[in-house]
Amino acid sequence: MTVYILDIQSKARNKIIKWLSEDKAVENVKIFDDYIKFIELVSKCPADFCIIRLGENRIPGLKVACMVQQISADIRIVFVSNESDYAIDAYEIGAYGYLLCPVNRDTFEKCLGRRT
Amino acid sequence: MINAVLIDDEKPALIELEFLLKKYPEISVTGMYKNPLEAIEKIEFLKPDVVFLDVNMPKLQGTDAASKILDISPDTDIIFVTAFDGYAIEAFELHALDYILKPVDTGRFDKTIERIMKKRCLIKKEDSQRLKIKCLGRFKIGWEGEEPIKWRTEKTKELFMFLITNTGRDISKEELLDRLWGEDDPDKAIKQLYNGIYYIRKTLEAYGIDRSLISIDSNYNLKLGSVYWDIRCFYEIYNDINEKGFEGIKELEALYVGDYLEGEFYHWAELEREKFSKIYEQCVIRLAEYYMEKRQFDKAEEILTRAFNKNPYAENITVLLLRLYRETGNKIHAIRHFNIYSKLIKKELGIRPDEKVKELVIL
Repeated sequence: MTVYILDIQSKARNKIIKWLSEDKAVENVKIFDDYIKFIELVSKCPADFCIIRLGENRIPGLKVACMVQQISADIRIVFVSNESDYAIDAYEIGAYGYLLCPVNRDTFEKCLGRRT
Repeated sequence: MINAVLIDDEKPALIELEFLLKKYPEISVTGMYKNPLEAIEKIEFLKPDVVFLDVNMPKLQGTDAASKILDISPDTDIIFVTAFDGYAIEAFELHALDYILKPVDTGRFDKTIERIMKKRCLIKKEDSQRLKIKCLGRFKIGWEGEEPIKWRTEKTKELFMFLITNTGRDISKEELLDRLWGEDDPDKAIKQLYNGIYYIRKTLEAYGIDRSLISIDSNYNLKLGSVYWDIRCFYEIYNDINEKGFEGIKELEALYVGDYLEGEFYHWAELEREKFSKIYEQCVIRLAEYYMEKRQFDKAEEILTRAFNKNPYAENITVLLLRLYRETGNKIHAIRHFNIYSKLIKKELGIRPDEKVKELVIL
């Protein structure tokens, strides 16, 4: 499983990286804070999951998610945000999950389908 | 057909939803309930594919109702239909497929139905159909019982075949360019490579083949999930041949319906072609010798003739066929076969049959 993360340096990002590194099914994790580089890699080599920050000025999360979907509708998009205000937009886009900070491991694993 | 149950404590909302769903012939409404508790009882037996669920209801909150529905019918998808936007996070936690706001916008509703269809079609495919990839004989990839995939260009197909030939191995861009584009203009070749990868992904996507079945990573390493691939099958039997014995050899012979990527004359495929052809030849010889020993000459002849038709230049096969005709006293067949063989190798290879082959006809 390949996971790309688009997020600024944050507690949530560090936690997610740690959890992913402990998941044996995850073969490849790439971290970006630059959304252009992120999109470039997604178009070259689509991931299984893209975790995208919402509500951060430097990252146009919803726009990026739309671009990811145009590249491949199979990519599962999971948003991570400090606010719940974007949850409806996330559904509009067809997001697979929405992680509200502070994220906990159980919710995270359930969200990625790693635990039922 | 996708079965849907509608739950909303307000009748007009139920009627409106039913009206909206009439537009989609693939969806059949199997139940409409104002009382979520009653709905849950029925859902246990109805096991609908999808439930359209209001959130704010006096008898039971929609999110609680969703939890209960998922407990008794875990394969059911939940779509929340509500005037409130404050439950979307909970909806995500419940893995609800969608969350739409009232009054329902028809354009947005189309999207919801599209999501249901996409998910249900994929589940159906996973349940009933298998993706099959055939590299022995003419190359073919497609869902069982359906037309094989049509590739955008021959080069896209060749790129896919190259990647599958090298499955599980990281391949550098340079190697790909060298093996597939050789002397072509490098800039043009790179562009074609990127386009090729893009079109492979798009084609797979269009045929509903997701990355759990076939994925290509950034090192051009193509990985296969749970698909039927004749080469994987071939190796499984071949690696276990000592244990499987004669039955294994028979299975290998049957699997080899033709040369590796038959009809595609790529240099990069030659080694593989030779490798499989050699294994097949060994299998045929062992099978034929076994049948001849058991005096089951019909079976031996059938296998040898099939092998000869696949590769008429294989001397070992001709030797065995002639031996078989000699043992059965079938001189006419022996001479006829010898003439076909000699004519062919003289015309195509410019050589004459070996002395040991000649002796088998003369004696």
